[in-house]
Amino acid sequence: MVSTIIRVCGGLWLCCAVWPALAADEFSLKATFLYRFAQYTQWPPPPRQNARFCVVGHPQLLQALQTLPLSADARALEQAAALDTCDVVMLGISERSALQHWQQHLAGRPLLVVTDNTEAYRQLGMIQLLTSPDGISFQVDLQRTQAHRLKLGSQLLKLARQVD
Amino acid sequence: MQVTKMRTQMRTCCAATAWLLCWPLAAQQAPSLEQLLSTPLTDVPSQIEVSTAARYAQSSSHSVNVTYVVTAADIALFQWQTLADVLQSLPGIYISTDGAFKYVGIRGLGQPGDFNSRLLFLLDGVRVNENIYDAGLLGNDALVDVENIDRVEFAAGPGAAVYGNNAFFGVVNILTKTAQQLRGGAVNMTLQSDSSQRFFFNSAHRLEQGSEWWFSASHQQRPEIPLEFAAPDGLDTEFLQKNSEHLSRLRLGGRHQGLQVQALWATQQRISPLLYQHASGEKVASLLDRNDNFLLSLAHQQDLTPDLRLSGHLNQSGSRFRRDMPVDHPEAGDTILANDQLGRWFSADLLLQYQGLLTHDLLFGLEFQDDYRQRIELTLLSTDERVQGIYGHNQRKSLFIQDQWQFLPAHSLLLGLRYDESRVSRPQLNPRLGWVWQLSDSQHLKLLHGSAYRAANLYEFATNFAVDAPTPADEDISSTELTYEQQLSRRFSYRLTWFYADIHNLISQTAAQPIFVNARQVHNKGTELNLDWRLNNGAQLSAAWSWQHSQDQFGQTLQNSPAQLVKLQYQQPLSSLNAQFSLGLNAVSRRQVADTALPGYVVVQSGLYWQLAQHQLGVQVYNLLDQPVLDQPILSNPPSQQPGRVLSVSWRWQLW
Repeated sequence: MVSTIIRVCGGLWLCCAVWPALAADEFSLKATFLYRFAQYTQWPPPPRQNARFCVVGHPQLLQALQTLPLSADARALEQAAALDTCDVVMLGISERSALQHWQQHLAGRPLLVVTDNTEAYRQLGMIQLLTSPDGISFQVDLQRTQAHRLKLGSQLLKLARQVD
Repeated sequence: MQVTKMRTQMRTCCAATAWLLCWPLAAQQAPSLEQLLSTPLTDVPSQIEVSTAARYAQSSSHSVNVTYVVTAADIALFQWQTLADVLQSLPGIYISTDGAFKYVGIRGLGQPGDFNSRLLFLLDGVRVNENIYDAGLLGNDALVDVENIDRVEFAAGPGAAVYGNNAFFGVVNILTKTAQQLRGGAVNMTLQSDSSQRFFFNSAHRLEQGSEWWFSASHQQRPEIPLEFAAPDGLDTEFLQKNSEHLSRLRLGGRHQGLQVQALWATQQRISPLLYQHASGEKVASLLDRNDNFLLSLAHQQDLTPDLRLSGHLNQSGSRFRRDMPVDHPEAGDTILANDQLGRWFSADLLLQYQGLLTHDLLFGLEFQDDYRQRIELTLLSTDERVQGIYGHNQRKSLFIQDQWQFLPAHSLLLGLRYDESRVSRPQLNPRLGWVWQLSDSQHLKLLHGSAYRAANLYEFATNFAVDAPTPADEDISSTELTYEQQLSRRFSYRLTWFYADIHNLISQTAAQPIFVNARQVHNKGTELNLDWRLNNGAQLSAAWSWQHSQDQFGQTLQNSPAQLVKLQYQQPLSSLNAQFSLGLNAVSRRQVADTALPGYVVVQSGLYWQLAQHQLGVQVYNLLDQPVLDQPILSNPPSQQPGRVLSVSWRWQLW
């Protein structure tokens, strides 16, 4: 019986056409996550029409954000003075000195700070995109988010890998 | 340069557009978070998070240890059923079995009579090697169901500078699922062609503030397990009927902010056929093994200041193995000889992580373990006569410090030192020195030198004590490894590792001398090559080749030490069937155990996996080519046979 089933399964595999499945490259997926996070975030007044994304040190993610066929206003952020034009800040840096610099400028501002590395999340991130060999998940620092006067949607909190 | 940049931009643009256009609602509607969470990657991720090597979470590019990661998705796709199956997929690891226990060999060291004491096993960061054999339980006796595993991290190389005893060749950290991964309530059912039936239920819930709880229960029964040892003539049916197993597990846990509490319990009852000499002739009877294990763990983590994090565990663990063996005693007649091995221990750790300095990551740690009950008793049940009793009470105290120092933008050093003190071994000081050179965003060179040790366990002490032989001295290892990893493109990466180790006083057993003795010196060296390739149409190929050589002071290759291992995992989505195809291969070259040459083997498994809205269905054939696989993990036993071809069907129904 076992050998019959094996033959059937093998035959099925050989006969069926192989079609591409729904999958994404790392940076397009991260960019789409960012877009979704903004939709689940409530900023203090005045209300935002469309969230503005600022990316620090992550050129590939910036490109992916700018090329998403969604209405994502994304730009590179090099100077802290430009933080007034941001709603979501994506940190792609992990060096401690650079993180401390941005930490000083981000302190108390109602900005959603997202990162995809452990070092930045530990120091100042509110959401971390966690990359594993087979996909992306995320964790949330709820206390830090609340300290910045942001409110995250219940669906986002429900789906986070961990909420601190 | 400009052309390359433009090409990259074009590729990113096309990828992003194509990916969104695939969604049914077209480009104006982004996929939901649930859809994003279940979307696989078409490329090799630039960096992943690991937490085992340094004892805190860090990017894999910052870690000096090579860390291999197996995820829950891999476990579901390949339908691995035990932790041993999961570990078997990793480079450098090979598993032997005698049907009752799974023995792990690593980098050419799989000494007969070693119950996985040269690897440290952690469950969510808590040590779970028991305290009689220092054994890591990987088979059906394991504490955790594979359905509860979120990921397994294996940090290769000596880890004693942060973990102490048993982290000899590496550390395996089993990270379990919490409410988000378990998501609501679900039932699993797995049926196999060898009559095995397995049922699993889980329920989990998270409140809006982030507090959560989870629960799971499982039961498995395996009647008429195929025989691992050939039955005497004419007794095949009787032996097969007496070869069975039942096991159950429970897990309950909760988390509120930085506080997590968890309880796990597992029980296994194994019945094996036994032919023994009786006054009236040979008699067939049942050998009854029972394993009970539990863990209660309380973990807390708190940021004292933005730069200072305090974390710790309080744990209570227990392990009991009992074997009831029928004997014909000269005075007591027909009776049962009970071998009862009981271990209970309490452990605690406290970690302080400081990141207030620009270029340093500092970690201080204290650990304590009280093995307050260690007991091996042999009793004749009919007379209640104690034939042998070995008792122990060990206490271990440890202190360690670690600094990861980024002395140049592309260079960092890891400096670690740990002091261990215990009642049964000499004080131990184990250093570790590592260097990471980030050659570019896609190239890393890592060098690690460290030492580790293992003290003789109670079983080794008892074996020698019974014949008045001295207890073996602590064995220790001094190891150096060099790793180069490169991501050649977004879809292809490779890693090459070279290692060399000197092992002093290796505790080993020989066929001529059934006690444990120290081998003077063993040299161990080898190379590992790993490839990760993402092909078109979402297909993925992971391949690993390991070459290793271990020899003693006389130039003899060690027992059960295969020279070569090959691992391969391939997966391919089949959209026409809405399924995922998987193919796994595990090849081990020949090994020598005592006078027996065990032939090499190639074991292939393949299957299909369907992920539907509320249901997941998997079909898997293990040992597809029905290859004979022989092992001899215990010198006093003849070679045993691993299972032949087995068909498995599993179904998961998400209830809410």
